[in-house]
Amino acid sequence: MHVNGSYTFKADKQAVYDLMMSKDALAHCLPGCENLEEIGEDAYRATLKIGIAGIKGTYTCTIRTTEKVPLETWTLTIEGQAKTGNVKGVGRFSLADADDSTELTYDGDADIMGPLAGIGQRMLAPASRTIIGKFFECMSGQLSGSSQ
Amino acid sequence: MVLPKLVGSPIKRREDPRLVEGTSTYVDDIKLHGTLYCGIVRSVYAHARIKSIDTEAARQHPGVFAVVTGEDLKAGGIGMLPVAHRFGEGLKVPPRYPLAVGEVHFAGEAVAAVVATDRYVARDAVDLVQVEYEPLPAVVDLDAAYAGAPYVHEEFGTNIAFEWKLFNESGASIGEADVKLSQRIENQRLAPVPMETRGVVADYDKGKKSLTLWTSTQIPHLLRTFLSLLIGMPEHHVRVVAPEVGGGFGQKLNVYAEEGIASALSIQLGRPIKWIESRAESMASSIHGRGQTDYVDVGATKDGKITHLHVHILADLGAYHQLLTPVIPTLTGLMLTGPYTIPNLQCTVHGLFTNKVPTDAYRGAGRPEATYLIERVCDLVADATGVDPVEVRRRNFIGSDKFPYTTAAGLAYDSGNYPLALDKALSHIKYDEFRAEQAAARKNGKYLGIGFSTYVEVCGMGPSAAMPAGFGWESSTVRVDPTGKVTVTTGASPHGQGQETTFAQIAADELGVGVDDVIINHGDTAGSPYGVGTFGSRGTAVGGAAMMLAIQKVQEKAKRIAAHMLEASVDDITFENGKFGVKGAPDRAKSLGEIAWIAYTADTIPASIEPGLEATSFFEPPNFTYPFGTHIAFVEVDGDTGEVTLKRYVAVDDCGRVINPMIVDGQVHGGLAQGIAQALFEEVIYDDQGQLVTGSLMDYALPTARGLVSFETDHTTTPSPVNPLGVKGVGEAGTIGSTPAIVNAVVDALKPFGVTHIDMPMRGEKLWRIMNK
Repeated sequence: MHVNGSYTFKADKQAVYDLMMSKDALAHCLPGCENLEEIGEDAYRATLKIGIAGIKGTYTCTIRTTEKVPLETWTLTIEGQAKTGNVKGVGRFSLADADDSTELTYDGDADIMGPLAGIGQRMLAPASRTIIGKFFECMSGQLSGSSQ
Repeated sequence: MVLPKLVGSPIKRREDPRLVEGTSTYVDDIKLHGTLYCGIVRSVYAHARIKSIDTEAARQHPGVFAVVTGEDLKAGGIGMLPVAHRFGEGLKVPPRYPLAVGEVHFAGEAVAAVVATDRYVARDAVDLVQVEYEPLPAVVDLDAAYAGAPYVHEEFGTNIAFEWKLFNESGASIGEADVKLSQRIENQRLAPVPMETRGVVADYDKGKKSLTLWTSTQIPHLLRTFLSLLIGMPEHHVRVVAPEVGGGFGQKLNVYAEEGIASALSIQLGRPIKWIESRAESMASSIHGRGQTDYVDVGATKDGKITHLHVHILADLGAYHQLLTPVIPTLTGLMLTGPYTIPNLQCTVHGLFTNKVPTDAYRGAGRPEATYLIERVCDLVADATGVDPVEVRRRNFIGSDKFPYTTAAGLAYDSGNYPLALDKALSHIKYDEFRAEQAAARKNGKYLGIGFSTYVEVCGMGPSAAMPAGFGWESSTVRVDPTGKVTVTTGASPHGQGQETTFAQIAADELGVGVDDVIINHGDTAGSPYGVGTFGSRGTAVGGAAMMLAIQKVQEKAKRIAAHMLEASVDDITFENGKFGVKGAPDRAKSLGEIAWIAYTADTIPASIEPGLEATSFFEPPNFTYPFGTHIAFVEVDGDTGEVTLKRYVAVDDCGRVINPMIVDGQVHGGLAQGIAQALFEEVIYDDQGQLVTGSLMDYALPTARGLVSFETDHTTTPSPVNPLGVKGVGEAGTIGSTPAIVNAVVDALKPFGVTHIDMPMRGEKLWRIMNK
């Protein structure tokens, strides 16, 4: 499944970049995140409780940030395993100045393996758009200091 | 001869009361003391190397008795699943163990099995088995699989499992034909979806060293043979029982992993083991059907006579061969010319491995693909030449005086009268009036279409010499009990075909007893001679014929006993109105019951006559049967949404002699629903990672009454000369005939938009795009 889109933050590039690399912000905003521990440089292990297409799963995830070009672009890879199926997402993120704000664009692929693929595929695209939208809103809230 | 009273009459199915009352026994209704439940761990990847399997957490889970992997079963001497074929070295056969060893090749493949106190604990324990995979590239698309790497089975260095060719050309080449056309035609993958999913109960008796397996199967006898080889137990120590089977459609014409797994676990643990397939497992791991991409080149004269048919079939085999996987697409090749005299035929089939569930026989099994192809070709030729589609068919029909007729593919059609069925179907409709109505409607933005399908199918599967691994015969025992009641066994174990009714109709007529005096037993290898099974529309044509031969033996013996009782010569004994008598002395005639009592008490019969009154016969058909018919579909395509509404459906089928017209109609109705559904709704979809997208009945569109119409059925009767009943078989006719009729009707409706072909299914979105291009 191909996923792409953009989100505009009312902040400069440095602030947005720092935010996206912040462990605490990720821990707070990743959907259904129950814990996030650092397992290496730019690598985390997280437990995410997510419901997709009415199927709730507890995903044990590894999250890695690679191919970093500070303030410009990076790749985020999330691999999750749950009883309901495995998920793998690879997304390329980039930042661009826009007036007094910063536009983040993302472009990636998400693959769903196992029973979840056979049950929820039709609902996956809208469900992932919702999840991604909520994530950025939450991150934006972190930026302005208010928590959601 | 007694006049037929029951044969030909629409008596109600004797099976139905127990089915509608819920008093029948399916596999899940088998409840043995001490039963443990099996759950299967399945691959989440379409193609991956198994790096490790950690079973410890599952083993430690309360209520879990055992966890086994592919390596465990292999070490325990469990072999590989069988494939029946005549390709010899020409077929690449990848090893297929009941539980994967080393690599998995489709999402849903069994990787490990757990055994627990109940099915819920088993399900929980399945989730505790940790399998570490190294994902490998998945092969999904047929054209890509044919083109080259990546490979499903790296060791073969190709995805082509086999190449099969037909070549019969003489005279002018296709290049010299007046009209030449080419078309790529897809025949999408389908899921059979029987109402009862598969299930097994395996019970090992330590004392007798014997195994009983209850399983939802179409082939209990063949399964017993293959199971004994799979698990290494002597065949005579294995008993297989197919209790009530809630639909099969070919999906249960197979030998499955779980049958071997449950048997091995019962032997290992000394307890009965039950496994019942969930719907999700059924969609993701039991065989699928169809799955072809066909490249077609046609040559024709300008007046619509088809002279050349060249077809390249890319057949989606899936990841492994199941029992008949490689045979199915060759049936497409053999039936390509349909009911037509097409002199020049070339066909190449490439069977291709893909990282998907294996395909195998699904209602029609290779013949719906052929019928769909040639019936689409007829309409393409009609489009290209301007000849009416009905006339194209008429001009290409094999004449009714040409039977037996040998086709360009080498098959000998037994009997047929194709124009008769076409004329009868046309008599139900007003074709000219419809064309006028269609033209007027188009002016008002309403798109009506009519579609024809004049099909012929190969049925009555035998003879043995023409089958993928023999076994084209069938057996039956007919026993008259001392009180004159009749117990029949048939090897053709039914699963919804109504053989308990139709076979009893035949036996009752032939033995002069009431239909309630006959019972038809089947499905238990301990209770009948070895048999083959019900598939390929063979139940009555081969199984019924075997019973007929056994009945004739019983009749002969009854005559000898009657001669003794009546102190007459055997040659003078007649069988009239249900009684055995002496010519010219009807008042002294003896009933079957009176004769049976003497046969069993045996104190008065001469030594030259053996006691008892029963006979067993094995029937080997000399040829296949070739049922045929004409189907006509009327559709309307909504100009705003593209949604197809089926307006009317006329089916004229010729299945030879009809034993029970109500059951024949039921078979036709069910077949139509499935064939129409392929045209309109059904499609198994895998994503490009080999993940099954249509894994539930929310996503896989089965037909319902809402999308169908009240069918108009009629028949012509052209008896088959290849069996003593004159029957041809009707189990698959509806499925085979209907799919192209619908697609032809939709393409006809959308003619104003310049289309000549649309790939199935005819979804509203697809048609809307055509109309709004």
